[in-house]
Amino acid sequence: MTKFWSIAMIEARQLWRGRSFWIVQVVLILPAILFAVGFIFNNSTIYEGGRAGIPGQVSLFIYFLLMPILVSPAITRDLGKPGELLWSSPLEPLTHLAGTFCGLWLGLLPGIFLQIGAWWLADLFLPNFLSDLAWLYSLLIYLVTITVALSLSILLAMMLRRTLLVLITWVALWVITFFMITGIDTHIPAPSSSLFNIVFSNLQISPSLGLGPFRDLIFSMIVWFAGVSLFILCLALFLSLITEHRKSIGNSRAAIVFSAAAILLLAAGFMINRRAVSAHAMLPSPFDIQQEMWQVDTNLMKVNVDADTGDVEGRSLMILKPLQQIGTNQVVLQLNPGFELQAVQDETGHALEVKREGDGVVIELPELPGESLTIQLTWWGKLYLPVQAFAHRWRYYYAPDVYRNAVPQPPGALLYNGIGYLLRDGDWYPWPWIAGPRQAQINQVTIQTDAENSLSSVPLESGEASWEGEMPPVFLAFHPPGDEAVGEGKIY
Amino acid sequence: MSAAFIRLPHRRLEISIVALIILALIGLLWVSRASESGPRISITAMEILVPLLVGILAAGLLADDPALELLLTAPRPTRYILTDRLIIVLTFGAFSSLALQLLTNRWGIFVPYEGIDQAFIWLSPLFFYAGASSSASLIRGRMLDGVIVCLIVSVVGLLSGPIIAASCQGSPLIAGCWLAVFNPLMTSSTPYDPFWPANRVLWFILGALLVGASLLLAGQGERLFHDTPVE
Repeated sequence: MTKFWSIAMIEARQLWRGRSFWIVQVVLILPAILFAVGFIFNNSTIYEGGRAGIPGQVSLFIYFLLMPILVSPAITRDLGKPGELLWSSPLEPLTHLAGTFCGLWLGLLPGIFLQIGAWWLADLFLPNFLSDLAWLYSLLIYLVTITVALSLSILLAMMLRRTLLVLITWVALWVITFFMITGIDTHIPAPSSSLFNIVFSNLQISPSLGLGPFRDLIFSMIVWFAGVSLFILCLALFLSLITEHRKSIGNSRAAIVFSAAAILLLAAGFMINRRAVSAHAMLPSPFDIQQEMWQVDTNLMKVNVDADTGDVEGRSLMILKPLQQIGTNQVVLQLNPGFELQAVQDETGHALEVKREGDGVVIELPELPGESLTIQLTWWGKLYLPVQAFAHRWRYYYAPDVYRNAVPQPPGALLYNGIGYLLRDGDWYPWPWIAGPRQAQINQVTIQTDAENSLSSVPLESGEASWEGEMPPVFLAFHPPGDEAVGEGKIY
Repeated sequence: MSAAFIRLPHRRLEISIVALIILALIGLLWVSRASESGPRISITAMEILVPLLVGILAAGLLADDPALELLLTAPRPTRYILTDRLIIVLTFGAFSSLALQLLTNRWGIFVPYEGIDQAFIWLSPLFFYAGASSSASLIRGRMLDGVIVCLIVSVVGLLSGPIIAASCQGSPLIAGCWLAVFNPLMTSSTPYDPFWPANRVLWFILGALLVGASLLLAGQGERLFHDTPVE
């Protein structure tokens, strides 16, 4: 342990003594200064919509690019003449590698605090919506990213053994990463690239919800990157043994435990990530959604909402009128995939067969629909939030060899940890597929909730709100508890 | 490529890796030729990536040369050696960029400007990166100094693009944004600005001056020695 700490301290001191470390820190402070100066002189920020993001994310991306400048010389130096001295000493490779890694990691820590501090100062001049939580996440993400970048730099330096070669390869890697994870305007990292999104690009922190429903995805990324980092270090250790035949593994038990932990963490991170991705996957709509084919004449609906658990239970009676000839004995309604349509009955009380198809439900009718159709529906469940609901673009086929990006509307309903909203045009209750607002000729909607933090567009009496006639765009909103100062604003 | 291998024996591996990266870029360009990202990839490759890689190569042309002592004792002046090596690296970069430009046009990927004007998308940054990196590395004889300059220029260029564009918001397009002249990576942010030709000329001349400065610095052999070699 003494040897380990000696190596770590020497590496940290050597890093701090190098001019390049301080030059890099000055460069990394530049974006914060540029943004602040840009705002002071132009009174506009280039990231109007992005001020709820992770502070310092731009600097982190640059830190990632500049990492081998700081790390590579420390490794290549030990491959030269000092390497001969190391070989002649009784130092074990594992202790040496662990000491070097920890020393460099500790050496990089002041830089991290310096960057976050610079952004904190710059944010005094910038209009933003950053909560205290955002700074904590920023520190966590900095630590994760720097750990991966450090271990990757060590591995590359050991493999390529030449600083210039490491730098060239690193620039290529950086550009590839840049292309894979940027260019999409979102509020959360794209699940498809979350295993490569080393700087957590696109992540925005809601002042009230924090990471919100996508906490599992972000957590999985942190575990995955921790595993990647450990695994890369294991590779570096074994690589050092292969390239330097004179060395032996020394404490083999520790090396095995280290490797097993790395593989376990890597596998766990991968599995959690895949689960998180599939938990927010975009579900397909039915093949024929009967778009604009039905008009709702009457809608009598009663819904019970438990904002804390997110449970929604509803019953409705709908009288539908076909707007054009319906060729099949089916009615296709839109309903959030998290809900189960428990019972469907026609006007006589006869149960109808129903099947779930992605984000829709298909109700089988005994015969072709006539001039009007009356159905009674009962549904229950929790909202399912696909990633695309958070303004994630997806590509759609436009013409031969041409694909374009589509940006969907934000979700029409959200319930998470007692906070959220229910909009009229959300898919939290069944309705035919239409492009316009959800309005019926005769409308009567009642929503019950025990939540004390609920706000309604009509007065709430004993936790019950009722609407008749034309429906408002917002039914209910559940605000965060207490007031919270966020940047220059305040959330009530 | 063969000239680079013969005249630059200590950088064979680096040049091979850069060549592989450029081949990968061509592959990426082909894959995304019909997509919306095609122009972005092409401009990024021509204006940023190839000049940056050439700049990094230029940093190690003389500084931290493993055979430095031998080179300095040879009757041939070091500035001639640097000239040789710079020509090789710049030619390599120019051919690579030209290939990217020709393939971009052949595959119907839209990039701003045509003909010789289009060549200035890569020519100006190529000269500037090579000159800045070479002279920075020769001031203290440290290769890393040149690399740091290259990376800083790229980062500042990428960051300042949107900031400059934001600061010129509201001004008529035809009037242009004079601040954009100072961005070496102007094509990536505001390619249709009327100041684009001035920007290209400015950075080309600056690059040529820096190449000249590096040749002057190469003549001062004592700068190339330092106590602790980094490679």
